[in-house]
Amino acid sequence: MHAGESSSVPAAVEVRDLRKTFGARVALGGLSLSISEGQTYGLIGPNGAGKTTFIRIAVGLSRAGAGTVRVLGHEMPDRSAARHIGYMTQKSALYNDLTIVENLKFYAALYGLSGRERKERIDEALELVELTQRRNDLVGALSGGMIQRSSLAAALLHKPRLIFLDEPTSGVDPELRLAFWNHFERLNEQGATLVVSTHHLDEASRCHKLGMLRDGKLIADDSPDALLNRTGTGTLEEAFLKIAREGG
Amino acid sequence: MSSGSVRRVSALALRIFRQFTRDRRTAMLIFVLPVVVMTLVSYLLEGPPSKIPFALIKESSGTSVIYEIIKDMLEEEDRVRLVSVDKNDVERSLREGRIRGALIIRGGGLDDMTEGRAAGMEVFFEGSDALATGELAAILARISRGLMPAVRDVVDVVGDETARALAGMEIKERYLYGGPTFTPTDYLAPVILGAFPFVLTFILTSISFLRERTSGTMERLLASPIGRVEVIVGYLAGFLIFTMIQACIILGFVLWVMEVHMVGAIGIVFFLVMIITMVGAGLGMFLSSFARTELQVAQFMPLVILPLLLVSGVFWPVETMPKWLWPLGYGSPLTWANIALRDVMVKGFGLVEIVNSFGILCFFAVVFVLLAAATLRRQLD
Repeated sequence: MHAGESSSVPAAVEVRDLRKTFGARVALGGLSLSISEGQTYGLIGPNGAGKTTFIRIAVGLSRAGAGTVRVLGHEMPDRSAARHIGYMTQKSALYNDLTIVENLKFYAALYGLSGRERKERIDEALELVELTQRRNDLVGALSGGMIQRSSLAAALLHKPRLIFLDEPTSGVDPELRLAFWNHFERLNEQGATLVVSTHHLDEASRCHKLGMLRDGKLIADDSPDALLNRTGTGTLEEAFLKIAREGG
Repeated sequence: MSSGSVRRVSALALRIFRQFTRDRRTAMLIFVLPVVVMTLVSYLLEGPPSKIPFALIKESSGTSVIYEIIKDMLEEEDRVRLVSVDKNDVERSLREGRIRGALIIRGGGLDDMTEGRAAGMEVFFEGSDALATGELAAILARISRGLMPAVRDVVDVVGDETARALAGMEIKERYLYGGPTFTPTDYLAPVILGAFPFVLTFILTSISFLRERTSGTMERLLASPIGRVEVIVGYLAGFLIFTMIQACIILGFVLWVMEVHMVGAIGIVFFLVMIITMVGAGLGMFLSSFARTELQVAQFMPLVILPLLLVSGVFWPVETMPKWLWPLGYGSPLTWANIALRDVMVKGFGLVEIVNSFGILCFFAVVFVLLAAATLRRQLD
């Protein structure tokens, strides 16, 4: 994996003092971070840490309570940024009563793809997630892992420059998780910036940089190696627990 | 039953009770809705409480014995309200709905009677509502039968000439719309044609929209370049295909199996069904945002759709309902759908003549679509 981090590389995502509350509950309490283009950035943290809230604001689905989020130069929410962003939600976000290829055709049309270009992109995406043989199967009849792979294919069709993956490997068996991260690596090599939220700290080590979130705040933001060195721990789990105990 | 079994059954029953008490809407549905629906239905089954507006017109200027006798008899009728209408304004009053029928009497003076000249009597029905027409026709038949004894009470000596004059009297019928072959089915068919597409699109859109929200596809959709209005227009276009096929089937059944009269242009009927579909879809999309589960969406049927249907003038026009029901009646898009479809199918009206009801339907469609768009925007919280 190439380093992807340099001061001369422009930021794909620039977050400044982002705040968001739901009633009395603080989901994001002043989050600031910067993700350079070409990076694979891992968002880690326990449930309720604010990972999904941040991603929803970054893809334009939710408004910030305060602060700003700039994505590929667009201050979000900005509809014109949508065609450059890929988004894989926690849920499958596919229509069970359509086949894989029908779902992909639908999403391709939403991004303005048609004709030969649409066919080529669908073929490429199916190949990437190794579902070419199952293209005409109904999504409702697929296993959980295949549905996740189909969802990933749907998020990649329009060749986005920036891809947000919200817990893409949750509920996925170890073998498939490995395959997923291989896909992510290939996408990154092709030039895409990836923002991946995950609970699995073992796979987080494959990111260029990690943002550790707790209670809506960034408690650490560094490369996996730097985090291990700084905490003097052997694993990211231990590093996360130590940083969390010390309050960042 | 063992004690373990009793415990298990009790636990299950208690769980169901707890779940229902948490769902206030279901609780309301169980306890309040039957009363509301029964109230509405009882008003509808009792028949329209207000009287049918009717005019009695005397064409000749002199005194008419027949006119006076019939006026007295009509005033004693419970179901008729006599409305004063100028003899030159009868057709306009019928067209504007001020009266449902008029009895026009020519002659009938004492001299005419004694000289054997029969009074000319013609009843002019509005005719679009076969129920009201039938009721008026029954009243007039009763009056006609009672006319001879009533005249005998007034005219002391009924000579041969007078008897001949009375025998020669018959009430001729004329219809502004419809005709003697029209039945209540002709009046109800347009309701079916409006209500089915409305209910179908409401159910389809509300459930589909809810599924989009709960399955995560709506989130994914809104993160794509598609605009909120585009989502709604796409939905409308998608469901329009099904409702238009349904409208073809209903219209075919109504025209060829039920042999309902169709006076107006079939194209306008389809156009109206299209607008009604949009109203149903808009309302479905809007209301689905207030439901968390498919059970709650299903509750909209008795909670919203049934009352809207009951007060929409299915059997009797809204103006004949109790006044406290008028806001609900005129606030129901189905009322305007029924008015517009009846105007076209029974009265043969064109687009220009149904401009009011058509305009109001369009207004409902636009309002519901905008409300649906606003609830989609709420996703940006």
